[in-house]
Amino acid sequence: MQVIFPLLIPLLTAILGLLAIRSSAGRRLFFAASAGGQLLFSLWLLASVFSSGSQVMYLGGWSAPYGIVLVADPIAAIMVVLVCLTAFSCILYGFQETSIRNEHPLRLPLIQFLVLGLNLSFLTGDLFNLFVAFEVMLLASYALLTLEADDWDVRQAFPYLAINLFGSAFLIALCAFAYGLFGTLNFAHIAVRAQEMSGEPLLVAFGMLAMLVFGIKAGLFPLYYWLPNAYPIMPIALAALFGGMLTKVGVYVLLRLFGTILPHDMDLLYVVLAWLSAATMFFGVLGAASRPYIRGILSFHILSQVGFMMLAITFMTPFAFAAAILYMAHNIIVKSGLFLVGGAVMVLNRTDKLENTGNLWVRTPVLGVGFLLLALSLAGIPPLSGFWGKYMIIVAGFTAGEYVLVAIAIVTGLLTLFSMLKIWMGSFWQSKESVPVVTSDRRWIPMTVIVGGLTVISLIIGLLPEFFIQMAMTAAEGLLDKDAYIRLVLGDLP
Amino acid sequence: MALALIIAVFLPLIAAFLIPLAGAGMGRRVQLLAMPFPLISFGLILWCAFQHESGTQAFLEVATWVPSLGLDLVFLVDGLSLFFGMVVSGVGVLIFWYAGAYLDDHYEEHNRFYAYLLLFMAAMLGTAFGGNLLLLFIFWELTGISSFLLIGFLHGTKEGQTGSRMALLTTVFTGLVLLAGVALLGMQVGSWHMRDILAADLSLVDGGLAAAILILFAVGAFGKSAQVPFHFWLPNAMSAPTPVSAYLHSATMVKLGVFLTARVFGVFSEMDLWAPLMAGVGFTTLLVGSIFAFFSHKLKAILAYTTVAMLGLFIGFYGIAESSGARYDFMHILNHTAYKGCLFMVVGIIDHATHIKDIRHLGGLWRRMPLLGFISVVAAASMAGIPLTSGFVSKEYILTELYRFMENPTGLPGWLPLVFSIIAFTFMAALSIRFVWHIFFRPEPEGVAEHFHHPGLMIHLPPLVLVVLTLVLGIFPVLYGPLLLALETPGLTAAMDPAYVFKLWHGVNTELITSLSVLASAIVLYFGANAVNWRWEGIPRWLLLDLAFNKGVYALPTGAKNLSRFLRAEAPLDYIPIIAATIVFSLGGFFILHAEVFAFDQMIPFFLESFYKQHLFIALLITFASFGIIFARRWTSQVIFLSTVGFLITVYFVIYQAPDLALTQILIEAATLILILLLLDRFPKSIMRGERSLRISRIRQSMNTVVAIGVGSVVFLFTYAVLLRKEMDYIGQYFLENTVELAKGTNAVNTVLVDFRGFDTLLEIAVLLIAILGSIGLLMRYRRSSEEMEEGEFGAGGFGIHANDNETTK
Repeated sequence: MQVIFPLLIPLLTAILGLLAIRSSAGRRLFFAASAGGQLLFSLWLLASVFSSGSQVMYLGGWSAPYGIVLVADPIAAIMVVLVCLTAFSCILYGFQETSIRNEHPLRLPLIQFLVLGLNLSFLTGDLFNLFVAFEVMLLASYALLTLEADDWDVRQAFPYLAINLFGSAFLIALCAFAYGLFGTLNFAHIAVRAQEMSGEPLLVAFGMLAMLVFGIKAGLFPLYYWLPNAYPIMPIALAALFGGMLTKVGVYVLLRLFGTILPHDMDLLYVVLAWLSAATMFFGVLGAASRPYIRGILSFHILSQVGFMMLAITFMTPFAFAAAILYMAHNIIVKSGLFLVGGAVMVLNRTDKLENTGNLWVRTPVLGVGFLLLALSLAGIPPLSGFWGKYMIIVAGFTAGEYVLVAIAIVTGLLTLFSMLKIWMGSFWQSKESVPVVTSDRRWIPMTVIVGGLTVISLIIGLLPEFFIQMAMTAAEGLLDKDAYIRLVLGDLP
Repeated sequence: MALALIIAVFLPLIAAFLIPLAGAGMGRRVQLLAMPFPLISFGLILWCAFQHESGTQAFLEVATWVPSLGLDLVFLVDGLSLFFGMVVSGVGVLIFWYAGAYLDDHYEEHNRFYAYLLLFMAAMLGTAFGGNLLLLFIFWELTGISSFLLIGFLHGTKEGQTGSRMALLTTVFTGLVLLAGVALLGMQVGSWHMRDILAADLSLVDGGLAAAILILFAVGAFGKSAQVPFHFWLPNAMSAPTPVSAYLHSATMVKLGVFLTARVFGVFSEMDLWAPLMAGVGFTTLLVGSIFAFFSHKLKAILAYTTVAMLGLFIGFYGIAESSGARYDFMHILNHTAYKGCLFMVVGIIDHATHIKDIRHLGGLWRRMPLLGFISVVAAASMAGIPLTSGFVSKEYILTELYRFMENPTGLPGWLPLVFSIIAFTFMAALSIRFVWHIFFRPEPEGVAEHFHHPGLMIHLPPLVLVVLTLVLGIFPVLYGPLLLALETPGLTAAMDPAYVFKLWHGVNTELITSLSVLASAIVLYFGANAVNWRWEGIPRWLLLDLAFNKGVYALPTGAKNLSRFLRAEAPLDYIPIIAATIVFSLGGFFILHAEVFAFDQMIPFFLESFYKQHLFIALLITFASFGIIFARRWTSQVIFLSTVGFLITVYFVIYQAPDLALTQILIEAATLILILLLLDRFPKSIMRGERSLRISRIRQSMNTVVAIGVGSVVFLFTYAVLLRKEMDYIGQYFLENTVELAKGTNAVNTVLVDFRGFDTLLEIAVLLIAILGSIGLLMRYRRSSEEMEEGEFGAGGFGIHANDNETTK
C-alpha cells in the first residue's frame, strides 16, 4: 500500500491546492507541508523496502501482466526519496527567491505534477505507464519552463518542447514495438519473453531504439543539445529541481532496461553506449567550460556527469551498477545544491555572469564554504561524496579492462574541476570594486541555510560512505537479478 | 601509540574548522590560538618515535571506514612516516611562529590563514602515516586542496589567482593519474592495506601492466614534486605569503613526491623501468632546475627553482639506489629542509623589511641586519655545500652514491647522474655566492632605504633555529648515526652498520676533490656572470611552460565554445535532424547488417495477405495527404492537410471496431483544426505565407529530406519486422476474452481504457489539466511587478541576465 502514496499525495496536493486555496500564504504553507510530508513518507517507504523487501501493488486489482503494476524495489525507493528531497528543498528555496506577492499561483501545483510524473517513472512496472509518467512529467516541465518566462525565454524554451515531443513520439513507437515483439507491456513479462528471444537481432534493434529514446531524456551525446540552453532560463529553484532530477529519469530507465528487462548479452549496445557516454562526458564538460555564467556552466555540466553514470551502466556488473547509483544519488544532491548557490550569488551580486560577480569569499564565507564543498565534491575530490562513485566507476572500468574509457573519465574529472574553479575564481575570489555585494537583501541568508542542508547531506555521504555503498549495492543487485524481479511481479507465473 | 597519532593527525583537522569561528575578530592574535596544535602534534610524534622500535613497521588499526572498497583507517608507523611526521610538524612549529611575526596587521582574515595551515598540516601528517593506500591518497588530495587555499590566500591579486589555479590543476591532474595507479595496484594485490601493498610481488603481474602502474605512480609523484615537465607550477605558487612558501614549497608538500617514491620504493625498485624513469626524470629536473635558478632574478623564483632541482635530486637518488635499499636518504632530505626553509624565511624577512623582491635591486643589508646576514651566510653555505655545514656532509655522501652508480649502472648511462649533478651543484654554488654577496655585501643601491624598517628580533628566531641545526649537524656529523639508525625503514633503508660513524673528514678522496672543484668552478662561474653584470631578462618564458599552461587555460573556454559550435550544439535548427539522423544511422546500420530479419522475399506476399482492401485505400489517401503537408505553400493549407491525415486515421479505428475512439479522434481533429485556423487568422498577413518565407539553404533542405526519409524507412522496417512475428501470444487476447466476464463491458477497448488500465487514463486526464495550466501560464505572461523591478538599489535579484547579456546562441 505504501507504494501509492508517492503518487497519490502529489496528485491530491496539486488538485486541492488548485481548487481550495486562495491566499498566497496559505498556498505556500500547504504545499510546503505536503512536500515535507512526502519526504517523510518516501523515507518510510525506503525504510520498509530495505527492511522487509520490495513492494508490489496491482492497480485496480488486475493481476500482472494484465493490469498496471507499481513496484517499489530498492532502486525505485531510493530515487523517490531523492525526488522528494530535491523537491522539498527547491520549494523552500523558491519561497526565498520569489517574494510572496510575485509568486505565480500555478508554480506550486505544477511542481507537484512534476513530482508525480517523476515518482511514477520510478515506481511503475509497465512500459506504457512509463510513457504516461513521462507525459505527466514533460507536460509539467513545459509549463514550468515557460510559466515565468519573458519573450526571450520562450524562444529558448521552444527547442526543449519540440525535441521532447519528438522524443515522445519515438517513445510511443517504442511501446508499440515492444507490444509487437513481446506481446506485453509489463516489465517483468517483457523480461521473460526477451530472455526467450535472447540473441535475436530484432531484440538488439529494440534495445538500440530504447537506448536512444531514453538517451534523449538522459542527455546522451549527440542527443542532448536541447538541454544546456533551456535550463538556464528558469528561476533558480526550478532549474535546481530540473537539473538535479530530470535527466536522471533517463539514466534510471537505462539502468532498468539493461539490468532488469533485457537479457545480459547485448554486447553491441554496451559498446555503443560506452563510447557515446564517453563522448557525452567529454563534450559536456567542455561545453560547461565554454559558458561564461553560473547557470550555463552548471546546466552543461549535468550532461557530463550523466555520461559518467551511463558509462558505469555499460560495465554490467553489480559493482558498476552500484557505482552508477551512488554517483547518481550524490550528483542529484550536489547538482541541485550548486544551482542553489548560483541563486544566492544572483541575489548577492545581482547577476550570475562571472565577469560581473565577485567579492563573495570575503563577504559571505559560509556560502563560499558550501560552494567549495559541493564543487569539490562534484569534481570528485576525496573524501567528499563525489569521490566514492567516481572511484568505483574507475575500478569497475579497470575490472572490465576499459583503460581508454577510464582515461577519458579521468580527464573529464580534471575539466570538471576546471569549470568549477571558473565559478570559484569569478564569484568568490575575484575582488572587484565595482561589483556590489547586496547583503542587505536578506534573502541570501535562508538560501545559504538550504544550501547548507544539502551540503551536510553530501558531507554525510562523503564521510560515511559505507552505509550508502551498501544501499547502492543492494539496489544494484536488485536491478540485475531479473529472476527475483520476475518472481516478485508475476509470482510463479511462467 | 594509536591514540597519540589520532590526536596528532585529527586534532589539527578539527581545529582547522573551529579556528575560523573562534578566531573571528581576533586579528593577528589568532596565531596564539593556533600555535599549540603543531606543538602538540610534534610532541606526540616525537614521543611515538621514541616508542618505535627501529627497523620495524607497526600498523595501528584505528577503525574500519569503507570496508567494501578496502579502505580502513590504519596508521603505518615506520622510520619513513616518523621522519616525515617530525619534519612536517617540527617545521610547522617554526612556521606558525614565523607567521605570527610575518602576517602583521596589513593582512586580513588571519583566522582563515591559520585554519588553512592547520588543515594542510593535518593532511600532511595523514599522508605520512597513512597505512592504507587509499587513505594515503585521500590525504594526498587534501594537501592539494589546502595548499590551493593557501597559495590563493591573496586571492585579490592576479598572481594569487593564476598561481593557485595552476598549482591545483597540476596537482589534481597528477593526483587523478595517481588514483588510477592506486586503483590498479590495489586491484592486482587484492587489498589496499599497506602491509599487503608493500609485500606485493609485482613480478607476478603482467609486465606491461606493472610498468603502467609504476608510470602512474611516478606521474603522481612528479606532479606533486614539480618534476619536469610539471616544474612550472611551483615558481608560480610563490604568489603565496612567504610562510606558506617556506612551509609548503620548500619543506613539506613538494616533498610528498619524494615521500611517495620512498613509500613505494620496495614495491617497484626491482623493476627495470625504475632506474631510468626515476633517475632520468629526477636528474634532468636537477639540471634544468639549477640552471633556471641561476638565471632567475626574483628571490623567490631563485629559491623555487633550487627546490625543484633538489627534489629532482632526491627522486633521482631513489632511482639510482640499489634495490636492496637507499643509503642515508633521510639525512639529505633533512639537510635540505633545514637550509631551504631557512632561506625562504630570510627572503620573507627581506621582502617584509624592504618591499623588494628582486635581487638586482638589493644590496648592503649586512649593515642593517647583521643577524639576518649571518643566517643567510650559513644557509647559503649549506646550499653550496661548504664544509662545516650539513649541506657539505650530504654532498659528500651523495657523490659517493653517484660514483657507485657510475661503476655499476642499471638502466641508464652511469655517467649521466654524476655529470648532471656536478653541473647542477656548480650552478647552485654560484647562485649561493650571488645570493649572499648581492643581498648583503655589495654597496647598497638606491631604493633600499626608502621603505626600510627593521623587522624585529622575533621573526629572526625560527630561521635561526634551522641555522643552528645546520651548523650543529655540519660540525658534528656523528649525530646522524643514532638518528638514521632509529629511523631505519624495512624495505627502504639499506642495511646499516650500527658501528658506522659519520665523519667530516674522509681523507683526500674522489668526493672531496670533486666537491672542491665544484666550488672552484662555481667561483669562476660567479665572476663570469658578474662580468656581464647578470644582464639577462630571466629565463625565456617559453621554457617555463607556465605561459603555455596559462594560454591553455584561457583558450579552453573559447576552444570549447568553437567545439560546441562545430558539433552544432548551439544551433537549435539542427537539434531534431541530428537526433533523427542518430536514430537512422544506428538502427539503419543495424538493419543493413541484419537484413535477414526482414525476409524480403516474403514481403510482397505478406502485404497482399495481411492487407484489407480498405487498408490499402486509406493508406494511399494518408500518403497523399502527407505529401500535401510537405508541398502546400501556406500554413493554413498545411494545417488542413495535417488534419486530413488525422481524420483518415479514424478509419483505422473503425476497421478495428473501436467506434468510441473514432468519435474522439474526429472531435479532437475538428476542434484542433478550427482553433488553429482561427489563431492563424489573427497572424499578420506577412507571416501567413508560411514556412516558404523562411530561407532554408538547399543543402539543409536536402539533408533534412534524406533524414526524414530515413526515419520513415527505419520505422517502417521495424514495424514490418515486428509484424512478421506472428506466433506471439498477446496479452490483448486476455482482455478480449475477459472483458464481459471480469470488466462487465462488451467493448474491450473501452474496458481497457477505463478499467484494466484505468490508471493510465487517470493520468492522461492529469496531462490535459497540466496542459491547460501551462497554456494559462503562457497567456497570463509573467510580469515582474514594479516593486520587484525596483527592489533595492541594484534592481531585482536573480533575474535580468537575458538576451543582451549572454550570447548562448549566435
